[in-house]
Amino acid sequence: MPEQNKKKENKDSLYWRFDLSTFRLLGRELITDRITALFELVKNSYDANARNIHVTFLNVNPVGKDTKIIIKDDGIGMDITDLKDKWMVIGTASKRKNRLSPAPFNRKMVGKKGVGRFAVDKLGSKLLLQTKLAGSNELTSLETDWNKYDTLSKQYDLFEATQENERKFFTEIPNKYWKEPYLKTSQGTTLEITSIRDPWSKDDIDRAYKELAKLVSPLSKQQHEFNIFITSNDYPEYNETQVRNKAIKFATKTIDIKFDIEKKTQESLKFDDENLTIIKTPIKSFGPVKFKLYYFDQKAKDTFKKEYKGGNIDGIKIYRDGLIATPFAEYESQDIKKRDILGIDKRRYSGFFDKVSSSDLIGLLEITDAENSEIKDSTNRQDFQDNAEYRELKQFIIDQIVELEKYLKYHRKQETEKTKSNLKSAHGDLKAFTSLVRKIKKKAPEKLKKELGALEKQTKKVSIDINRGIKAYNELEKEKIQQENIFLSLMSLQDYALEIAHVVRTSLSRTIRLAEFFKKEFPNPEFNDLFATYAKDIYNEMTRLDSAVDFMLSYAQSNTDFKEINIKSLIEDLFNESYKKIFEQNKIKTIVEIEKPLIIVHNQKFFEDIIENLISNSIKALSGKKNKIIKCTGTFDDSKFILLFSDNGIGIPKEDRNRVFNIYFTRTAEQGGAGIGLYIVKTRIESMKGTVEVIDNELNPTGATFKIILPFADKN
Amino acid sequence: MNTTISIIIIDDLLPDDDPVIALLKRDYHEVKLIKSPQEGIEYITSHLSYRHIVILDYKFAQNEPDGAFVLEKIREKSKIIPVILWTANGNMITELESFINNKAFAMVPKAPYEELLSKIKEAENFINNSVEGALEEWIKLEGQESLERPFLIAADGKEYTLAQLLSEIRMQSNFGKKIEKDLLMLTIDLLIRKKENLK
Repeated sequence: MPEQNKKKENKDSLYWRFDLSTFRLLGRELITDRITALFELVKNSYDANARNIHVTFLNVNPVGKDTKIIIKDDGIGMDITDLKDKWMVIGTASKRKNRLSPAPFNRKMVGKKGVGRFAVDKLGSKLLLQTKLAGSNELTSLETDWNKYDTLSKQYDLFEATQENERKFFTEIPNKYWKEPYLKTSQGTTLEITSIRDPWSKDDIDRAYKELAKLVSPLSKQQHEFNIFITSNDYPEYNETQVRNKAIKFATKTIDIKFDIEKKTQESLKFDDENLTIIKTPIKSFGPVKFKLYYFDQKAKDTFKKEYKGGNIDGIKIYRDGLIATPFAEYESQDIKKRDILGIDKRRYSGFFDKVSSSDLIGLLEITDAENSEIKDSTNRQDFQDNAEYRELKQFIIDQIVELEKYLKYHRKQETEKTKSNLKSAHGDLKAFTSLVRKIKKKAPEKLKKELGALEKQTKKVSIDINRGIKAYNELEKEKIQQENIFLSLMSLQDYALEIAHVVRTSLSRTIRLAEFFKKEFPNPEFNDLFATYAKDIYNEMTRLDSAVDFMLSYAQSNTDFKEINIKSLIEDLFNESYKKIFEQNKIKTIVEIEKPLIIVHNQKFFEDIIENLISNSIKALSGKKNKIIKCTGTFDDSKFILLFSDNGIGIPKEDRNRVFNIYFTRTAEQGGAGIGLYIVKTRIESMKGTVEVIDNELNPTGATFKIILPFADKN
Repeated sequence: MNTTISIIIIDDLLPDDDPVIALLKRDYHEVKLIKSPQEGIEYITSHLSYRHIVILDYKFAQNEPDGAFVLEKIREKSKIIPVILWTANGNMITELESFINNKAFAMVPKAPYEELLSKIKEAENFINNSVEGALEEWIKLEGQESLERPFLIAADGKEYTLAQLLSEIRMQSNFGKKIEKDLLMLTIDLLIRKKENLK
């Protein structure tokens, strides 16, 4: 047992000892990868007031006996007491107590949990730590060999019976230290890590460079210099190479969102039909934030990537007190593998058309420990803890991006209109020019007539070409809209696939449970009633699964042709022809009133699905009722088509109004409702960029009314 | 039938007559099915003085919080209520870490139900074998009115009723942990000195 414990020990006290599993949890599981590990160690140097940090990789590819990683800083260093009471104590509270690093730097401490030192183990298994306080003439060295701990783990596996009195714990492994005289003027800490676990390729060191470059926010002004240098004898380009966080240039649009702490207001973006404006709102639950957002269009992206070789436009980063908080030292060379912590790319249909994605944006969101205390680091340091405040912060970020998207969409449209109108006016100008040439030709001397005739011919040809150009442009626009619609449908298909997989599994699980009950409990008179019910339930579950499969097949079978469809005649045909007999059989009176024809370009099957599912839903809701009515009215409001679909059936209670569109939610199970119909209605309408909701029933005394709004582009 | 442990199932798609519910009703005095995660959180946090085992679904309807969130909210109020996660889509769970950190009692598939029933038994043993469980049993013998009677005076002079003690133990506060340990030590001491016998 270590000396210091012996002194304190007395016979009526017990001491905590902890074994290797705890160490593993801290070292290898909290610090998820090598880059994070390096990051943690550099953060430690930052907290120790270092101005310069030198990270040296020696003979790291391939890994051999002489492979080393050295992290050397010129920070305040430690003496033996610091080593004993801070470095060697896990979860040191000093960083939590002292929020600022020692004067005169007063940096906000970035390592808070006192586990950063365990990052060493992720890089290599042996550590020689050498440290020296300023003004002292003594260098203190400490040797740690994590291999010893590994050996310990193998000898005393947690789950194996061992002779308890012989069992050694993590805290009982000695770590050798010694002191030696040293230059009085120097100060700082050097970590020399050997028995390196994995080779470092150039790509790995490039990754480390890029991540370390993100450590300090480009917006924060560091009072005291903080430089990181990388050297590697394997790669000549890394020779005391300074890690630089380059200024962000070439953005198409730069947005600056701030707050006013005295007036308690938070700025927020708002698109006001033409421009992006900044509005002031009360400070949100997550506290005040500064947010700088850079948007890059394709041209700006090309310039950026050309200028900053290998530089990434990599989405939103959150800095706390000037230091990166999330995404934390996370590097993936392929964008698609990056974890989308803020959920920007998860938004439905993202990356297409009017949506911007992480690869179009650089965002720097600044928070502080003091002002945003509810935003808490998560244990694995890759994200924040999921709480209401963090959720609101994520929503705030998305809201800003949505406003930016509206602005970009508007300007793209303006640009298109301008090009179209320029083409039209060029066509008009040319016509006038041709007629002028013709006039001049009439009066011109014979000698010139021939040449003017050729000019007239030429201008006519150009005029025809421009005209063709205008037509082709219009066609292209139409085609683009059609393609967008197809893409949107495909994107929503992804969501359907997820939902369907979930309900199919849920249904299968239930069926298995029901069958399991039969297998284990039958025959048992106590459960006779249940056996009867469950037999019926198995049948119903199978029917549900059948409809889910039908729904999936409807996708496979429906062609993706988009064509002009007349909504008015389509609805009238469905009511008066396709469903006529069914309405007669069920004694349902129908009222169909569509104000005027509306022609939209879409997939006819998709639209039919909406009406057919609403009809089918109403038929079930009307079962057992008298004087059954289904009413469908269509009106217009600007560029919106509003469809009210009502019946006087059993109705939908207010508390279920939002839930009726959820997949597998049904109130008509007795009539064979599988809970898929209204889900199809909602998703189909959403794929048309429309909305659907349940409103107060228009037919009394009971019933349901669905309000569907479909936006359409007016050709005129 | 166990008369004090209730089973709370939070699942939005489970029918009221599911075989699991029918079988549990045979063994437990109350089996409550709550179909909304929010209502589930509210119910559990307002019934902390009862002994529960919670069966929690993972994926709820859109716009509803998921199982990870529900567990986190329960853990804010009680560190020791056993919460068993059951899901039809184990491979789609992304918050595994959160479940581990928030000490989910177990994670079991929705079918077959055998594994769920066996985990519920384990959870029941866990409750019954805990100090909290023993106190509950004792309260049952003494009558509910004993809950509000002063029971213990701490070293700092503060008076605790049984209800307060239970709450401290459930929250695993420093005082709760200490009193739990002290009670165990006292019991051992009494047994060793033969002041009490185990029946």
